[in-house]
Amino acid sequence: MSSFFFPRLLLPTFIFATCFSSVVQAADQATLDVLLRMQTASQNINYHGTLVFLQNGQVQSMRVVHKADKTGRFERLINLNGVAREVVRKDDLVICYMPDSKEVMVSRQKFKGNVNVLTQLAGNDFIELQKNYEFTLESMERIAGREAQRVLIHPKDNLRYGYRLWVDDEKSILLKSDLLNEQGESLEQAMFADIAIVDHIPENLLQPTSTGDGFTWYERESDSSKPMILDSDWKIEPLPKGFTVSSRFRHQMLGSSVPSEHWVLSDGLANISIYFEKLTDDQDAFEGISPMGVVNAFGIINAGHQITIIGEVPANTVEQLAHSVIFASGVEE
Amino acid sequence: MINPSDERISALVDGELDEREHQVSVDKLLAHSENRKAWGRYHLIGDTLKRSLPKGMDHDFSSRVMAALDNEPTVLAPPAPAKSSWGQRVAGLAVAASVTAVAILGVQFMYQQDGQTLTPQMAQTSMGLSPTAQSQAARVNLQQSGVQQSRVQQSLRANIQTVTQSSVTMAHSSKPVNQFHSRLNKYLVDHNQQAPRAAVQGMIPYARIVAYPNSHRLLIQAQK
Repeated sequence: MSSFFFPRLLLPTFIFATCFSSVVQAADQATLDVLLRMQTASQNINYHGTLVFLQNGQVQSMRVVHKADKTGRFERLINLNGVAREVVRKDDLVICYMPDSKEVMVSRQKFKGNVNVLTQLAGNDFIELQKNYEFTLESMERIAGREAQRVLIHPKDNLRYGYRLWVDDEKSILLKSDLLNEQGESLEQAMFADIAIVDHIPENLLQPTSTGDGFTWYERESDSSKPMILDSDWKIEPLPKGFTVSSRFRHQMLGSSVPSEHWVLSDGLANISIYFEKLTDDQDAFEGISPMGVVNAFGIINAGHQITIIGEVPANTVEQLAHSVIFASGVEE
Repeated sequence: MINPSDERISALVDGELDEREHQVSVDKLLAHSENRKAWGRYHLIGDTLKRSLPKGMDHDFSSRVMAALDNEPTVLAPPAPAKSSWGQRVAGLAVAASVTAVAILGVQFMYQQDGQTLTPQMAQTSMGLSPTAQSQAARVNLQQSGVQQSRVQQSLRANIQTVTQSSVTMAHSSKPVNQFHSRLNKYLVDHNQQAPRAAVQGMIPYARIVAYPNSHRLLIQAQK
């Protein structure tokens, strides 16, 4: 019995190991190593600095504070130009202060911990990713006074964006990141103009500037989001090439009284959210595309529902998805 | 820490000082040498991001221009007409200190998106237009911007608006457009939270939330 059992158990491992070593070439492995080091760095290095952000031909600068230790992960970003929008994060809790609309949005990540971080890139998933993206280790470049290794992640079609990353050679922090289209042209750039890597982050650097007094607060109880759902009234056919449904939730949108269904599609790097909300008399419906920088949102009305598709993907991807949504209530899957 | 004039210089670099403010403040703002230096630095940051730096950098271009202007004989001429367009003023500045880089930055970006065939994104704000009509509007827009290429400074403002305009049709809506944007913001926040964070981009998704107001503001201006 046992002699029969072991080979069956080991055979897939053997096949997997053979495939893995033959597909992940040495050069790819070097690139993967840089990316993995970068992921680890974000979990145990403290830094603060000024991030310059270029989007839609506009330059903005932000103060960024990042703390990661045994007590958790903390981040704070505040825009130094114009409206002082601010995001403060403590582990899975994120608070966004929007002085322009006098709103504060409080939300909790459904994905606890760093589920995505190492698992997405490691091993077999890297081979999956290579179906949609080409990974190249490029030359070194100096960013914010530090040596950085450039990594190019080029999309193989126009359904997703690519990335060029500058990873600190010593500490593996992401120092600069470009979002690229299929032609390799830059659509959005974020770069540290200066960065200080420190042992200790003083508590006051993580305190939000805004008190949120007089603002409208939107908060969802963490337990109002049920985990994955298996049954749905909706189908999406076909899914954009390379994307799979990574999760489905039923929850209430911030500031909405209507329960909604929320699907997340992912190709391993890019994520797309699809919200299905039943239309009510007092709710406004909208249809069409609305770009928010590199993030595109597309609204469509289908079977009495407002469907909103949003993601950091090209406009054609969200639009194509909008037309692939099928109402399939009562149809057994 | 950043001071108020830094913020306004940044707005100037981004072409975001509003029209009334612009006329008075450019002169005032750049009257101080510290501010002129900051203005130079901000342009440098922008150029660096665009990888459009010349090989030899002149870090104190503005003071050399000012010195050159001081040496110029004073010309007594009637003041310019009060009502000059924003574009003309930008063009004027451009001659003084090569602000054209900013103008080109805005326009280049639009062409990049054009190349990426994001036609719906380029469409005119269309209330009730069919998708076909929208893409026709987009084509017309692109042709227009081709014409405008030769007059980069004058069309800067219009172009940036074109890039950020959305073609959303509000069905049975009487509520102001900013409520719609507030709602989109909530989707953006929720999406960033619930979708597994794009592993390779670190905190950039949050930077997008923090950065959004400026294009948002232009978008609302465009729809007025």
